[in-house]
Amino acid sequence: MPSTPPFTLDDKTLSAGIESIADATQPSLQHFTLDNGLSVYLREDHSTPLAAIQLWYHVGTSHEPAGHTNLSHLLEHLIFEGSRKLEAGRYTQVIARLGGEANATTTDDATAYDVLLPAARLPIALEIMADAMTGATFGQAEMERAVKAIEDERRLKVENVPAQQAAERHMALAHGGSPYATATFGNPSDLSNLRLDMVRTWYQTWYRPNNATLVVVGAVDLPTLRQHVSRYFASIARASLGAVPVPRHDAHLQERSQKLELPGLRDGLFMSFNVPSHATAIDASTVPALGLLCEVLGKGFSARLYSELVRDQRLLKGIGLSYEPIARGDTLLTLSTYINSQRSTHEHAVEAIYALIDTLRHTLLSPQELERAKLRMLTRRLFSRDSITLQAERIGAGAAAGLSTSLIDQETESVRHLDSATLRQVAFDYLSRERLTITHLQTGAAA
Amino acid sequence: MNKPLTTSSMPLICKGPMTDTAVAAMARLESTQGLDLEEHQPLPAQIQQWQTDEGAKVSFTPSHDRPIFDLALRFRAGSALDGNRPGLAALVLYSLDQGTEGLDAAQFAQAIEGLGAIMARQMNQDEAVITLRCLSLPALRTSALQLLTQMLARPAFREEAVAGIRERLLNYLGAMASTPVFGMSHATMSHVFDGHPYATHWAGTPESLNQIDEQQLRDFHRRAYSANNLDIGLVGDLSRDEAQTLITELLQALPQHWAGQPPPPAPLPEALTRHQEHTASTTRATLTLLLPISPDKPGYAALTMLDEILGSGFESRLTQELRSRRTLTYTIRSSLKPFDAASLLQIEWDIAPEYRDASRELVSGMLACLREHGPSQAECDMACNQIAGRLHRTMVSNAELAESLATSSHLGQPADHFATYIQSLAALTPKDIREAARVWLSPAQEVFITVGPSHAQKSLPELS
Repeated sequence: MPSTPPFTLDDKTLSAGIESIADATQPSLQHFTLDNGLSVYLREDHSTPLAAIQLWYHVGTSHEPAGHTNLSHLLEHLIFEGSRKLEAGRYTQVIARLGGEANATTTDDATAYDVLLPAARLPIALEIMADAMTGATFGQAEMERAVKAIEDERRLKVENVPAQQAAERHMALAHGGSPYATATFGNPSDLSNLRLDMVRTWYQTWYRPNNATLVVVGAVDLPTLRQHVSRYFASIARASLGAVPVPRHDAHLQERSQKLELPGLRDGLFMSFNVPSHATAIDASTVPALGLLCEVLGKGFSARLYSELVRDQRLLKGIGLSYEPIARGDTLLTLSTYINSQRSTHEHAVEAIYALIDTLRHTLLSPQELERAKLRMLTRRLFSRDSITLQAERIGAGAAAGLSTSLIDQETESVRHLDSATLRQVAFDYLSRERLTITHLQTGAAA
Repeated sequence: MNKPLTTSSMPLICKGPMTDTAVAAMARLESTQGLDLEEHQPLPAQIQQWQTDEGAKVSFTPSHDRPIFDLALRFRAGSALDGNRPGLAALVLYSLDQGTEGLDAAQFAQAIEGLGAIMARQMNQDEAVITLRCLSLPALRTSALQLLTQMLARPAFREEAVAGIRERLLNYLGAMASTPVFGMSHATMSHVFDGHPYATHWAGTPESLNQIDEQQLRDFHRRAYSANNLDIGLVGDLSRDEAQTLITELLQALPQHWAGQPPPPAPLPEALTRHQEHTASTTRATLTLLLPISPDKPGYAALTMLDEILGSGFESRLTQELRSRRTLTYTIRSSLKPFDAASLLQIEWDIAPEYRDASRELVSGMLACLREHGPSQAECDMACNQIAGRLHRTMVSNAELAESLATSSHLGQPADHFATYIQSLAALTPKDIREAARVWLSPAQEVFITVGPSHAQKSLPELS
């Protein structure tokens, strides 16, 4: 090994770096609500000639009753099958003709329609989205085609991808009794049992202005936005909405594990901890602390798990850590890895991984490692502002999770002020074995 | 294919629409009244180009919205330079950050990530690209560049560190060999470029990887990582002077005076139809054409339009035909993959196993339609707007823009390339594009490779 001491950054430069991120403020988030309840957010960003325009309905797969999975996703497809003003297929075609891009996504908590196009074309996107909120015209023929499209999507993304099937079964075990246990693609047999009237009822119940959030990020000013939003959305009637229970984890958790053997599956592990989201965390420091723990453990080439187990011991072929705290219910912190079978068994890999996690539950981070992790995490956040689509998604997802959007603007501050003792305490409380679910992925014999 | 098309595999979309259906649909919207559809939003980037004393070509765009910068370094150091040592370029690139003269791999990772910087690298047959994202605060950016300089100019290639990278490349090749879908792209490359340096996978072969020694790594590094074998894209919160200063020390420290030669031209491949059996629920198909042209040549613009009209986006012919109208697939798309020696036009889709051959017949028929009739003006207008939109979206992201600038520099495109690009596409007529289809979409060299279950083949369902 080389004898030169490691290159170190002095504390002054380190804190100057963090300062420079804190100073890189953006225009604050502007907000208004129409009388019918439609909530509208604007983040002005004139560094681009484009605008990201997203309409988030606060309904997703976790709202679906048993036996009716796929309703939200099916409806998402049908929204493009025509509305009062536009026939089937024209929604995306018009946006494309204007140099834009239209898409939609169904998640646990929401169904989101997004458009990215030159900001001057904003009114057209708003008019189309408003027409789709109230005037969708889909009938039986469109529904049959949409069912076929989802079957094709499922065949490609789930049935053909053993790791995806394993991920769905892992999520089911980890989430237990929570509605988040159901995968986005739900139960395939439900899909063929859904009738047109069920989908129309789903549409009429949830696609209401008071159950939606419109987010715009880009070169748009507030008076212009307000004028066009009022023009196209103000006449849509609100409706009363039923209460929706918050997805919670089982009150008494214990360690769970399973082994999955599928043809084409590579040797690997999913390990998830049951953890709170922004919506369910009792203490405000829990979520930023979990984020920072992910940084220390698994983000980048200097993170502890990567350094030790991928680069140095080569027990693992790679590692990924994810924690998405923007959710209306309890969520997961998930580690996924492929194992280097020539050097490690599944059991050995689990223990090696957990030993490194467990260290954080009992030992304080040095001030230098703490500050470096903060700088990395905050810099990454700043980098992600490159994408106005991503910015809009965070605002929309936050609204759909019922969160105060001020959380987003306060993120930098909340990370800056974390100390090592808090980090250790949060690791101790939430990265414990009884919160852990492990799925062993194993190569199975070809069918 | 000589046999006549079965009726159910005849394309529904063979001539483009004579009227612009999108514009017709817009007439029903209030918000489109008075809209000027001819107006293209100007592309914002002001690109500054220069060549340094060391011979590196730099393209720079200031961007002061956030206190960050993005640097993309594109060396002509791809696997085409491997010679009789497949995997050499990959082993060099991925060993660079595994230890410098002064730091081992762990120390290097800690040092650079301790600055909040993100360093990444990628490669293919032609190029090795190293990117750096970092805060632009002077102390941080200077430190980041010092580290990058150590890594690129003075890598240690210590035996143990190289062994780790070798093992990971071997694992990667092993995974590819045992996962047919993962190996499809290589199967295509090795046939299409048979007899050419591109035919070998960029990660090499196990036999060769095991034989490469330290001296070979050093020799490769000393040549391929020369300052005048380099194109640089730089975007961020810097003045021109700061940009120049930022890279000076790096350029002076790099090896000097060596430049890779372009690879030899690639001969046209033989047509091929090959199916690999694999247990799965769906069949993955790729149809590939080799086009002896690169993006710096005049005909490439028409090809870009052709690809867009054929299959690049949701409104393209392939998606409309196979997904929207026939619900045969979830995803079908075409893409142009430019290499220095030739470009590939590749169509990829998923299909129920029983329609593998019939869907290929349909796709080939759609290429024939473009040769025969070309697109309509409405399709050209749509394509041009889509490409312009995509370019705008690329330019929003500093990181993507920096990489595009490095690529554009490599291709020798002028500083006003992006600014004039859309006008040059808009000037192309349907006839120009039909000509391009006749020149490039030759049925005699379609390479069709599929992976999926074996299944008795059926005709496509008749449309009601």
